[in-house]
Amino acid sequence: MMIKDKITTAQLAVTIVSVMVGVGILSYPGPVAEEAGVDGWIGIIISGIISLFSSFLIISLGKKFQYQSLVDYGPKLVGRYINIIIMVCFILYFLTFVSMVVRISADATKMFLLDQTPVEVILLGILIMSTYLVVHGINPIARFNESLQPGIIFILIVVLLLTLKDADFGRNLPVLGDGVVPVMKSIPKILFSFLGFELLFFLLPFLMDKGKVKRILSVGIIVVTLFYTFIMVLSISVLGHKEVVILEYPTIALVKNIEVPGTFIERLESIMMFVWIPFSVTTVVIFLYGASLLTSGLLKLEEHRTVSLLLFPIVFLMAVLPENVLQVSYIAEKTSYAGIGLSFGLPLILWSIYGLKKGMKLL
Amino acid sequence: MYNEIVSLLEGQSDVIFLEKDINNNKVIFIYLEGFVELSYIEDKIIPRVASLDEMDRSDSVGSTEAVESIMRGDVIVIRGDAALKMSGGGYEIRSINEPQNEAVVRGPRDGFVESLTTNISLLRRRYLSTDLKIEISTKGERTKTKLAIAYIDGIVDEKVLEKVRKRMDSIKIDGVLDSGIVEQWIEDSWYTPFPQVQYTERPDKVIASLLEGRIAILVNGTPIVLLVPVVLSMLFQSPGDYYERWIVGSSIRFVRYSAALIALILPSLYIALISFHPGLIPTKFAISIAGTRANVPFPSLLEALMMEFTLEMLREAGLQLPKVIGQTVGIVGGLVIGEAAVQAGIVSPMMVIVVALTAVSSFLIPHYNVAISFRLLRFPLMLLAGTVGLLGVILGLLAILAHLLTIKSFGINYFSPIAPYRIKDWMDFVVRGPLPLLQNRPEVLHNYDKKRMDLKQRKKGW
Repeated sequence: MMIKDKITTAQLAVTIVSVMVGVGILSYPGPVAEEAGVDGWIGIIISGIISLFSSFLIISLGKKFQYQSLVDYGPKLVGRYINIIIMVCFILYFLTFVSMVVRISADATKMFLLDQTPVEVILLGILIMSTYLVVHGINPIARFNESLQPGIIFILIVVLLLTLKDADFGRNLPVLGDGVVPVMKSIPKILFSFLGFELLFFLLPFLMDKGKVKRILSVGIIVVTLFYTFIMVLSISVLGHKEVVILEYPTIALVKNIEVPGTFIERLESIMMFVWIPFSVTTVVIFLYGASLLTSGLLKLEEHRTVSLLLFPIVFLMAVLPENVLQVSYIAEKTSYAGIGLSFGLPLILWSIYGLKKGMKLL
Repeated sequence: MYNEIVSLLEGQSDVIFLEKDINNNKVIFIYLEGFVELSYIEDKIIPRVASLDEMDRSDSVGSTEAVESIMRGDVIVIRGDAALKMSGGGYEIRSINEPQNEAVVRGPRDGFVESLTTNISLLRRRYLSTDLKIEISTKGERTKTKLAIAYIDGIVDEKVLEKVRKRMDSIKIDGVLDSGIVEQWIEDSWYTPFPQVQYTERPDKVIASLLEGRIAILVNGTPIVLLVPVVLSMLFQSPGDYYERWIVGSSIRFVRYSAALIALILPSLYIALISFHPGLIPTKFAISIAGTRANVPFPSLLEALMMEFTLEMLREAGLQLPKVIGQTVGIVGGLVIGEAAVQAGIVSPMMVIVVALTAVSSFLIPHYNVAISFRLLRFPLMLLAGTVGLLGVILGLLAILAHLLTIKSFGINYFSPIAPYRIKDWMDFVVRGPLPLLQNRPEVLHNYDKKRMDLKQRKKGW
């Protein structure tokens, strides 16, 4: 495939950050607190380090093949047919992930903003907007993240800082009161929220300046880790451990507590929707782009435009299919496990194959 | 020679053939009525012809060229077999006035006129170095309009200049009556509501843009000069920002950005909040709004569309009519219809406030063509707000953002310096920074010479 568009390293880092900070941001403190209790933040930091390590593996592997995409260097490494299988896995994973993200966003939007509107309409709205951007390629996508992400993260932090009034940081104690085991158990669930950097497998060829990619990307992942830790600590400090476990969207509940005297908008969770819909749109856009990029790469097409338009109805149907929230979270969990396999397991496997082949002088 | 010219000019009743006897030679002056004054010929040209003993054959022009210069306003003098071209002294043009659409409180008062030569001279008067380059060409298969590209050598980006030249060369059209035709021919994409070319009537603005490394396109017959390339943030700037001190300039700019935002989203936000999310408004306020809306028979979307449409009609009517009557229409329309509509219970007073605020806000954007695009985009946003509430507003705004990111103006990203980041340019984007901090030319334009000023002397203190 022809690579005409180029993005800067900073744009790549912002893009990866915006995929990682996706829909999970509203709900992740719940499951984490359930497993790890008040020690969730330790799990988050460990998961951040694991993700950093994994993304370094992906980058280094790409470097060995002149920063090609996995679609291109895969055949040399694992053979043509296995590579096709891996690609199909990735495409299926991306598509399921996109449809679940869209569905979860639509469900939450329906819950907080539009209780009378059918969920299909909301789905269509988000999908049409995202596909419009996907069709235009990686450059506008990267700039979209670049222009949006800092602003919404800033708003989110400002809103969250308003909750400090009710925060009691003592609720985060004791540290490691139940030992290390619950923290370890929580790590897979936390890794869900870090999914997204696996796109590095495919985005490396678009880089303009390949030198500083590791450094800037680690800044991005560290920012995400700190951000998650901040929200985790804050929600436990404000709401308390037990409440965080019960609530479906702890982050929104956090914001509900805020009462700023004299403001026009009374319920600040509506501002959260202003922040959160862009978050989910950026995630949807990049995964949908990834899926269309892979499909077109696999079919040896010049462009991804037609493919992304063809994927649109598939994603829509997959998103409408689950009947209720329970099914959605079931599928989402299964998809996330697949994602963990592809983002944390696959780099390790590929590296060992690379090492073996190198040792046997096959490469 | 004479007969050839006559046959070429057949059917042109306004061509004057003036026969005079000078030094016992028959001399014929050919010129266009209205282009050359008779007194000018008698006072200036005849003495010159009389002073020539023998007309030099080598200065003689061919018949085709003679006819072309007659059409441009020159005088052709024919004595014997030779045709001599002489300047016609220029025809009447509108005098230099202050441009009405771009008035500034502080700054120069001159504006461009309809003559290309005058306009170029207005630029030259302000920029005396020779690195101001002017390239003149003729476009329009039938009108043969003169066009000029102006840029400053050493600052302008050659790649952009090459693009401008290439696109200008491609113009093949029967008539170029205004720079608008050129704009629409050379712009990057025609389906976007956002203008990708800036226009102005102010010479000082053109020089300021040239100094930033941009290119001006002047067209004969119109006072509107085009400036390329342009990014969205430039369209929110007015020359007055730079002549005032920076605190004033910055605060005015802030007001302008807020106004643009209000003009874009206020009606849709109102519709969304009223018809979908009344719970988000403070309870007391929601009750008072509901009270005023109790008698209104229409849903708020219809109400808003009606009022906005009325307002657009009034605005257009005000523009078409002479100034004095235009104001009357504004008063009659705005005050009387608004007040009566509220009393008749067709619209709620809140809606009148919202619509009026939106209208005032859209006047604050200094460039008419951007103001129009913001006004246009308001309507789809209102429809979205009326169908899916706040979600529609958010998605609509995201779509506008996405669209802005796909536009380019002569290869320059339209939405920089926000994306791609050009953090150095933010000093002249978010605020109008103090003069010593505006040392560099805008990075988005890839200038060759980046530095604008040398602060060494200033820093020594006085």
